[in-house]
Formats: sequence, C-alpha cells, structure tokens
Amino acid sequence: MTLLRIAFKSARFRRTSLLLTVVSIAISVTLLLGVDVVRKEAKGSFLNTISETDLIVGARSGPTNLLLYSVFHIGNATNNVTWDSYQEIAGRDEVAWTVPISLGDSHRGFRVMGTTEDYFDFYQYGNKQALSFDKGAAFDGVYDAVLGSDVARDLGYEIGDEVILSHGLVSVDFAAHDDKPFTVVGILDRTGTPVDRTLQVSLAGIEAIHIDYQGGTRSALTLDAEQALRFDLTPTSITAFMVGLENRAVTFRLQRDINDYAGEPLSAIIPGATLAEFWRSIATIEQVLFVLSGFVLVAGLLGMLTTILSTLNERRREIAVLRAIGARPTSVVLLIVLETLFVVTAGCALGVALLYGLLAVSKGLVARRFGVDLTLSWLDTTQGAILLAVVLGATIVSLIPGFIAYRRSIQDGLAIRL
Amino acid sequence: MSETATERTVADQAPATEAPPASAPAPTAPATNEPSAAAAPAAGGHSYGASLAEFTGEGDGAQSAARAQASPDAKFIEWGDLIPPGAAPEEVFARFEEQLEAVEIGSPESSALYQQMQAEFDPAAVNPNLDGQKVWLAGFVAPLTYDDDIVTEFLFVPTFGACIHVPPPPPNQTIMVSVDRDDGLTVEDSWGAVWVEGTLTLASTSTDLADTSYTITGATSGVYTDF
Amino acid sequence: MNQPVVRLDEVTFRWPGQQTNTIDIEELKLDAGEHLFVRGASGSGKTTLLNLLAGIHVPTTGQIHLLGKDLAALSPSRRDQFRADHIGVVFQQFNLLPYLSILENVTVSCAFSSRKHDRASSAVDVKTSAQRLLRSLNLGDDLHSRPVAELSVGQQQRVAVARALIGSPEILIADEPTSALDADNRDRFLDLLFQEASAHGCTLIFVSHDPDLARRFDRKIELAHHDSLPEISL
Repeated sequence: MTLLRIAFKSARFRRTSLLLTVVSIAISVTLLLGVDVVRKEAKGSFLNTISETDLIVGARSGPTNLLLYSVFHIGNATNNVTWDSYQEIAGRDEVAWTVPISLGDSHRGFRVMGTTEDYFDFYQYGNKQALSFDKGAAFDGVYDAVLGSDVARDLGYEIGDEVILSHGLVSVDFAAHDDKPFTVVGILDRTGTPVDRTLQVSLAGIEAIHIDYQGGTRSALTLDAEQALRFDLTPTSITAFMVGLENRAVTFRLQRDINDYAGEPLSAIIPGATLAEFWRSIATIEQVLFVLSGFVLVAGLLGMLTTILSTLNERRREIAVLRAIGARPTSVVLLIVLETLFVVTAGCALGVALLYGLLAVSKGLVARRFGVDLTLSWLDTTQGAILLAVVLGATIVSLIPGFIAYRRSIQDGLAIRL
Repeated sequence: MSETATERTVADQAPATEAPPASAPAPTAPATNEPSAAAAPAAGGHSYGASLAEFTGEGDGAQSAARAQASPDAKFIEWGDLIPPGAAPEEVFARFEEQLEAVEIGSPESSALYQQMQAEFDPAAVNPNLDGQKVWLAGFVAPLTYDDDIVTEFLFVPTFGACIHVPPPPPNQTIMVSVDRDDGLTVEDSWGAVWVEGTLTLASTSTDLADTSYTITGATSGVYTDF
Repeated sequence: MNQPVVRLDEVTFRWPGQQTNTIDIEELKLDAGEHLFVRGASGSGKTTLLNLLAGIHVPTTGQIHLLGKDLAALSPSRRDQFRADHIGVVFQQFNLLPYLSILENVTVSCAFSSRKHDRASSAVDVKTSAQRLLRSLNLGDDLHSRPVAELSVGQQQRVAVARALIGSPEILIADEPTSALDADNRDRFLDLLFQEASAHGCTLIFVSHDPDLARRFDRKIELAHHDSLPEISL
C-alpha cells in the first residue's frame, strides 16, 4: 500500500465534501478552455468565410459594417448602390468579374439574397473552396430559389417546394410576398459559412416581388406573379457587389478610385484585410475574457484551499496515527498534496467533459446566431498547457495546508488532543 | 551593402520633400544586378530625409537582426528597387527641377506640379532585372486568403494603413505573395511589419493590358522586428 | 538478549522557555519481554515521555537507547524509520484510519516498514498474517472487510493492537488503551494484549492514569511533577 493509494482512499472517502471543490474547479476549467476553444474556432471560421474576392463595394460605410452585412448578413446597409454606378465600375478594364448582391428580405428567419448565377461560380471560402450543389442547380427562372444547406435542413425543404419570401428581416404574414411564391431549384452543400443560412434568388426575382412596393409599402394596386414578369426587372439599385480583378497588383489603386468615385459615395474593402482588422479590434476582448477566466480559476482554488484547511483540524488524529506508524512529516505533506492532485484531476476531467458537452449542445445555436462553426476536436497544446497550469496551481496551493500539517505533525507527535 | 543601402534610401525619397539638387544622381545603366541608381550623399553632410541609419551612424548594423535570418543567396532589396530605371522618382524629378525652383514650396502651383510629376510615373512599369531574383524585403500585409488562421496569400506593400492623404501603393509597389501554410503568417502577425523572402517573378496577366506585376511564390515570411 | 531493550540515562526534557523539566528520569532499564506500567495523571508529562520513547522528540539532556541505539544520534527521518521498524503504538481511541478497511488498517504499518513487512510475510503473506492476528484478538473474518465506523470501540482497540503487533516490533507502546472501555471489556482486552505481546516477544510500555491496572504488571513507575522517578510498588 503506497502513499499514493492511501491518498486516493483518503480522498475517495471524503468525496462528498470534496465534490463541491471538484465542481468549482471543473467550472473554471470549462471556462478557461472554453474561451480558448471558442476564440480559435471563431477565428478560423470567421477568417475562412470568404476568399478569392478582391474587393467588395457598397454604399459608403465603415469597412467593418460593409463586411458584416455583405458577407455575414449581420446588420444592414444604410444606403444602396445605383445600378449605373455598378455597371460603370464593373466595366473597367481592371475588373475581371463582378457579382451584384441585394439584401433586405427574409424567409422564416433566414436572410434572402438576390444575386446572379455568377455567384455560384465566383463565391469561394476557406482555402479556395467553391460552392457546390447537393441537389439541383442554380436558379434559372425569375422565381427560382437556391437554399443554403441549413435552410433546407432546418425547414425541411426539398427541390420543388414552394417558399414565400417576407419583406424585411422578420417573417410576418402581413409582410409576406405571398402572391409571388418561389420554387426551390437547388440546395447547396454545407460550407460552414453564412451561405448555409441564406436563400439565394435572382435579382430579377427581388425586383419582381417589390414591383408593387414602389411607395415603400404594399400598394393597393397589386400585380400577380405573371404580370410582374412583363415588366423590366433590371434592378435600379443593389446593396453591394463583389469584384475580382485581372491583376491583383492594382487592388489598392482601384479601391482608392472607388472610394473617390464621383458618381455616388461608395466604399470598397479588401475582404481579407478587413477581416484581419476586425479581428484585431476584438482581440482585446478575448484577452479580457481570458483574464476573467483566470480569476474564476483563482476563486476556485481558494475555495479548495478553504476546504482543505477546514478539514485539517479534524485530521490531527489521523496524522498522529500516521506518525505513530512511522510516517515522516514530509510524507504527511505529500499525502495532502496527492489528495489535492486527485481532486484537481477529477475537476479537470469533469471540466473537459462539461466543455465538450456544452460545445455539442450549443453548436447549432452558435452557428445560427453568430455564423461561427464550432467543431469538436481534441485539445491542442495550448489547452493542454492550460490544464497543466491548473494542476500546478492547485498543487502549489495545497502546499499551504501541507506546510501547516507538517509543522503540526512535528509539534504534536503522538499526542491526540481530544 | 551598407553603402548601397544608405544611398538607396536617400535616392528613394519621394521627390516632393525638399529641393536638394546636389543629391540628384544620374541614372545608371541597369546592366548589373545591383539596385539601380545609387546616389552619393550630399557633399557637406546629411540631407533632409536621410535614413536614421545615416544619422546614428549605425548603418546596416541596426537592421541586421531580422535580416540575419535571411538565406545567403537572397538579395536585400528595398521598395524603390521595384521601380524600373527611367521611372525612378529622381529622374522624373530632374525633368521638373527647373519648374520647381521657379515656384514656392506649398503654393498651389507647386501642388499642381507635384501632381503632374505623379502622373509621369508609370506605376505599372516593372524592373525586369529582378525577374527570377531571390529577394528579401520588409513591408506590410493586406491578407487575401486564409488557411484556418494562417495567411497564405497576401498583397505586400511598403505602406499600409488608413492614410488617405497620399495615393495608394501603385502596382509596381504591390507584390502578390503566396506562402505555404507552414511558412505563413498568423493573422496577428499580419497586423504589423513583416519580412518576406522568396523568388520574385514578373507575372503577366491574361488580358491584353500591358500590365504586369510582381509575384513571389513559395515564400517564407516572418514578423519584422527591427525599427 | 543481554542488553536492555529500553534504556534511559539521566534523561530530562524541558520545553523551550520553560523553567522546569517536564521529564526528569535518572535511570530506567527494560529488558526484552518485560511489561512496564507507567502511571501519570494528565499533565504529568506522560505524553512527552511517549514522544521521547517513540523518537518524536529528543531529550534535552541524557540519552535514550532503544535496542542499543541512541535515539538522539539519529536524524529525525532516521528516528521516524526506527519507529516504523521497531515500535508499535496503540492510542486511547481513534486509532484507525477511517478510509481504510479493517484489514488495511492492520497492514498499513507494513507499508512504512519493509522490516515489518518481511517479518510479517516470512511464513505467509502479509494479508494472511493480519487475518491471523485479528482472529487471535477475537475479531472474526466477517469483520475484516468492514468499514471502521461499524466496529465498537472495543473492537477498534483490538484492531489497533493487531496493527501495532504485525511484523513483530520489539517495543509496544500503549497510551491509555483501555480508558474508553468499560470494565468487562477492559479486562478482556488486557488479557489479549498480554497474550499477544508475549507471543511476539514484545516489551510492553503501558501508560495509564488508573492505578487499579498496575497490579497486572511486574514493573511500575509513577510520573509526577518535578520529581525524579521512584520505583514504587502499588
């Protein structure tokens, strides 16, 4: 029977009173690791949302705002880009391709984006990953719709199903474009980007459903789907457009030209650079979160210290017995440290289990609300180091009661004060 | 190298900072692989806008820490080297010298002259001598493509930031760099100054534009820490 | 066999800062197998004497030799090891570790002394040795895997004796082992204690405040304040 086994049995014997300590350590471990995991996942997911697009152009706006609404579909544009300005810029020699997009409508909580078929060719994400179709193909007719994978899955749509778009971001029946239903013609493969939670329709389709909204609200003079088709459905304005260049070296110059465009106030961003800047601006937040989690850990360790100290008094007899059997004072200290190690290891294990549990449960919600894809993977070296730091911290803390027990065991000797 | 670097810095000054005709050099033939157009420091001492190294007398010593990591066959270049001979600022400057002397600095006429000189630059012209040359260069990064949180493709420029008071970097001061994931920069690294080492190639586009641009592929990169 | 197992020569002990000696013993010699009764009221320094005999503390002056070894000459950890190897201790109560089973409580002394372990396992393994000891102390096998809390005080005290005796240490120190027992249990306990101590050839040092117990011992001493130790017959 080694000291380790004795320590284990001792800790196990007092497991009910130590349970709270284990739980408090577990919570701080979950928090520390959680902050790190979410930070890394959010960063990876965020940065990999769009690639191979050289510029995104919208009405004049802060770069972050433009990035958020055009790519992440978070927030709104305050103004639109006129079709004429778009055409003029798209016609420049430097420009290889453009994809216009139009935002503003929704369908049962998911955003609707008007665009051209080029979107499916030119939108890429991650490491130059292109969009691919799980079922069907891109839209062809005015009232065709392509669904992101989450839209199809959450709402249970199949090819051929009918969807009614709503005006604005909240889907209420009095804002529904119910006279002009769309048909699902394509469902995209999962991307892990906001594309999954978007419905894509043609620009003409967006124009068609707003044909009787020219006054800003539904007019009494309604036109049905058939009638709408007879009109010229070329948009007069769009929300933003994506740009690909012939020569990327002219990126900065073209960006400046667009920002200085005399026709109307516009902003052009380099998506990769804006992503990096945005991430930088929230970098302090993650540091703050980390520090806060550190404090939670300190609180947990102090609680553990209190528990161990309070039991030291009762254990004087036990220590005297051990001394009588021949245990050295250092063995007494070691016993306390080993018991603490068992407690903190159990706490860490529970904390990690809690972490994975929480991640698994909240994956879907986080993806829907924040556009961040949390993947469950093994702990990496940083997280392993965090766990090690927790164990080390607890061991050091346990030396305090250990030292007290040490001194007492020398002074008390065989005496048991009853 | 020290001499050349110092001279290069002096020679690279944007032509509008002052009027030091004494330091205007003659354009040299680009026959060798050396960075073109070296200028001699003004006789009688330092000129305005000279590099810090000149003032402190440390020369390249102060910048050697980051460069010490460079491969032996990499040439240290500066951004001005990317501008081909003939399009160098000092040559354009020389053509305007007379007119500049006639006007007051800061007057509307001088501004107009500067703008004219700007237009004279052919910002797309590239230096053919550097084609295929392995170079080492420090600058700033505009990320384009990420692999997780590693920047694998970026535009490399001499100045970056929201400074809208000067024109943006022209095409021959913009290098399209791609790196392997293992040699790539993290997004945090990309916020500050960065060095890049790799083979510079002149890539031409598929259109009938005369535009060509610089690319560096298979580069290594790192955070530039010397100031 | 020729040298005394326990030998105290002009031993005094004074706590630092105290004016008087807590312990003052001119001479004490115990041979192997002898049973010594130490009578002392509380506060008479019997705790200190126990600590000195067990090697927890060293005397201020004088020497304590156990089995021929001068305790003061050993380092503290050596003394701890000596105690582990050669001494068994029984306290008044709360002898047992609540998180070990009865059997484990007995065998735990062998965890701290390989000498005891070897001696306990010379014929059979340690576990069997422990079981035999417990049986001879009237603790049947059905009790061996019980948790400590389920045993009566008397039973716990006998387990303590088993733990003190496993591995056949030369010296057995008992500090008021019967004070928590009622009269019947006390006598039975003493019977078993003497029986097993003799069986193992132990030198027994029995400390108590109760003078009635003294008649069962061949040697007795009395601890009192400030005085040296006369050997008295009670």
